[in-house]
Amino acid sequence: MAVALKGGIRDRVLGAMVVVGLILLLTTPVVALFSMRQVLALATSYSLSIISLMGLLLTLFIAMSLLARDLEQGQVYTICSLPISRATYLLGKFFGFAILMFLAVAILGCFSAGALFVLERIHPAERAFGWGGFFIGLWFRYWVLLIVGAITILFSTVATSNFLPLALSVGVYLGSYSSEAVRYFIRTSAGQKELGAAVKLFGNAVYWILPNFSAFDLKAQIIYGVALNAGELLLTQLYAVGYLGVVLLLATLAFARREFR
Amino acid sequence: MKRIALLLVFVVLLVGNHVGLTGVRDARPPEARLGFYPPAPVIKALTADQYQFTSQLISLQCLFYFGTLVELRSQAPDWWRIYRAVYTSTRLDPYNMDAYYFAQAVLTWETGMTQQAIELLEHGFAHRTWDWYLPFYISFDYAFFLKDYEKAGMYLAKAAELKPEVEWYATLAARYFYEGGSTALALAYLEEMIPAARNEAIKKRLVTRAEAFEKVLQIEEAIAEYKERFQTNPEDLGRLVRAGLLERIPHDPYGGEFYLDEQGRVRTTSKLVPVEKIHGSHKN
Repeated sequence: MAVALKGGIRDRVLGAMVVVGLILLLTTPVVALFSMRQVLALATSYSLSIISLMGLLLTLFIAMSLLARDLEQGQVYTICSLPISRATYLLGKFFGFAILMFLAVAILGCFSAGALFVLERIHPAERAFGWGGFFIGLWFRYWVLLIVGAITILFSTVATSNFLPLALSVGVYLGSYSSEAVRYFIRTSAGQKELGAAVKLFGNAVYWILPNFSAFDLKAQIIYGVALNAGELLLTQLYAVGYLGVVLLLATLAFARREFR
Repeated sequence: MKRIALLLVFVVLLVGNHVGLTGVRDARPPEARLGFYPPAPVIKALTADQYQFTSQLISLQCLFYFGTLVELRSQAPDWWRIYRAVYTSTRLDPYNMDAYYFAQAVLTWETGMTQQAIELLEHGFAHRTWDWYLPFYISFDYAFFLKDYEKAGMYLAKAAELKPEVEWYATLAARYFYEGGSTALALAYLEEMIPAARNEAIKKRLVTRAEAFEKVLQIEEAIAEYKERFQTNPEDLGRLVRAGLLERIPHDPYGGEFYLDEQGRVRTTSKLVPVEKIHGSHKN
């Protein structure tokens, strides 16, 4: 865990996030001024998009290199000779990644909140800005990144190239935001009539297998002040814990069986 | 030395071509300037959780496109393409108020796309249930453009319910709707729109329109006074001047001339669009 965290700090990840945060702080008011009717909403949308995009890039970059670096440099042989299990090693790596991502999201979130706080005073919205919703949204975004990171690590444990885990993780990420919409479409009369049985089965299978990231997306609630549903949030959190647990368990099983040459 | 010479060659190539490319791109026809947006479900699938910001980028793109053409006045906007882009934007993010405001500000007056604008606004109101602006806009469109006072009244009642502090919604509007007086309604509507207009191109248009309606209202008030005094309709606007009710015939800010039609209503030769303006294309 500490090694993964130090690796991230060595890569100057947090420093880079501070720089991105500063850019975010400076550009948010400029972007928001283009809005005709919803300055704060546009600023919030822009901030969350940047946090989301930076978080995803960082997740893919760190999670992909977590195992790859040790495998390439042969450090994994040394680690395997130590009196710790492969599962402990892998989970330690993941938790180091989790702490690093928490710090990265927190840094970006603080800079973003600073920009929004100032803008809220200059351009007050018709509805009061929900700070609670903003931080809850960031929290769920963090969980999306944790799951994406875990999935990337799972792919890394079985893949022999660096590119494959990256490509598969991006595919899973995009698919995870569409799976719910596809499932809704399958259930409509048009979907029932137009789609073949195999496509419907595939669409449903994708929905149940991939993480449903649409449930984690609270941007509409944050940006437009739409009420949050506490029950839904609780279920989403439990779903996230369950999904992460399953992916990490699969990753440890796959890593335990992996042969090193 | 060779490297510096080579660098200079590339710099000249880059700068020369960039200038040329900018000129070519500036001369693109309106259809090519706004770009193509795939259907909202496709964009949503490709942009994952970035669809809200993408929606706002599309509505901003419409604003830049419209603003540039209006400012330069060299090309007429492709209204239908603007409508399609705004439609896509609102399907991506049904809460995007900028898209609705833009649709209301530009699609209704000069394009005749009132029905399309209303459909967009109704879609917005189904999501932004707290927003009194949307039923207010819809109400105005039904009353002023479609003369459907029943639906206008219905939506204004919804706006009044959401914004009870604006008293005229609930009281004066009913009178405007049922007793005519659409000029006063238009002015009231524009007074709501102008302070919120942050974009200069749109603001300029709204201010000019408000000026025109003020002139129309001024003439209408003089006609009412004339009728009361002489118990007959004035034959032309010159009568109002000669009767001392108007100092002079007001100047139409759109460059046209005011006149009275057969029914005695105030009309202008500009039809409330800039007379030198080339009308844009749109398909219904």
